[in-house]
Amino acid sequence: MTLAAIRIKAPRVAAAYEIALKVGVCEAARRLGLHQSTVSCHVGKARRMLAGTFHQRPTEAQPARESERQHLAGLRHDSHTTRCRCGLSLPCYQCVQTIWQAASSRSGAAHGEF
Amino acid sequence: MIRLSVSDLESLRYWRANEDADLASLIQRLMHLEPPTPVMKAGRAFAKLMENAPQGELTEMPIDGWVFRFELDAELSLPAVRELKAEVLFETPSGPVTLVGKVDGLHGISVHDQKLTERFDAERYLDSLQWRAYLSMFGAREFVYDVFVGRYDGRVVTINDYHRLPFYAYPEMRADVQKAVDDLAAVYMEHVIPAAERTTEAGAA
Repeated sequence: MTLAAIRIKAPRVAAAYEIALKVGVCEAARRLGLHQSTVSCHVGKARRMLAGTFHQRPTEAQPARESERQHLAGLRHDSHTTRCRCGLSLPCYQCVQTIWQAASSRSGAAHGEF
Repeated sequence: MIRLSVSDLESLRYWRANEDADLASLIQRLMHLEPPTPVMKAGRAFAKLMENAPQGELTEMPIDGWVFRFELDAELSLPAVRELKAEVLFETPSGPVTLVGKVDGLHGISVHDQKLTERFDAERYLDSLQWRAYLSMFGAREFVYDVFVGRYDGRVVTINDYHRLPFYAYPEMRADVQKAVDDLAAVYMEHVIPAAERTTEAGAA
């Protein structure tokens, strides 16, 4: 590795879900230069995280405690959903923020990484 | 329909901030009659380099007669979407205006712009209408200046520092941009169009 150099990296796409929530999956895909299916995949991960069935690290992929599962499920009521321009129903930003914070404190993962 | 660019907004702001600048210099700038300086040409070459930069390490790159040397240790994430144009229609007291602009990169709701400068001065970017206009035009939340500091030695530019300078959308931002477009459209109608007509008539005579 050269010491004096600039390293050009691919951008993180971890925020794809958040962006999709704000501008829709189609528009998010366009803005991120990704295929729609890739953005949808991130949305799917976020939804699984919301359901308590997705974990950041395989080593910590233990089932959530029942009380926590109920807590997470309790956040999934209709008032916390919004609809993408392409008709895909997405959980709301606030809910996912809450889940991310809970998941991050459990696994030590950085906020927004999934 | 008046067609104005984000750069024109900055030209007017810069002119207002500079007491020594006369009206003729502003008109010339808005008519895009000024020839590009070597620094501007280097900036364009650098923008082209960044537009086409592949992933990996970059130490030296010749492009358009310039050579850029990277003597720094830094990492940079470049958006997949680069060099993106946009147009937005504004209604102004001087008539409808199409504001046009081009960003260096768009990553979701983050806009990126690369700058090549000899001295990093964060306050220089603070008052800029550029980031406000682009955030407004792209409905974005964050605007990041990727500022590269370099020194010139003929046509060799050695880049030895990098600063990431982010700005964020705020509640009355769109109104600020609207006001700037209104002001620029008024200047354009009152001074630039008559000057352009005079130039055309002189050319025809």
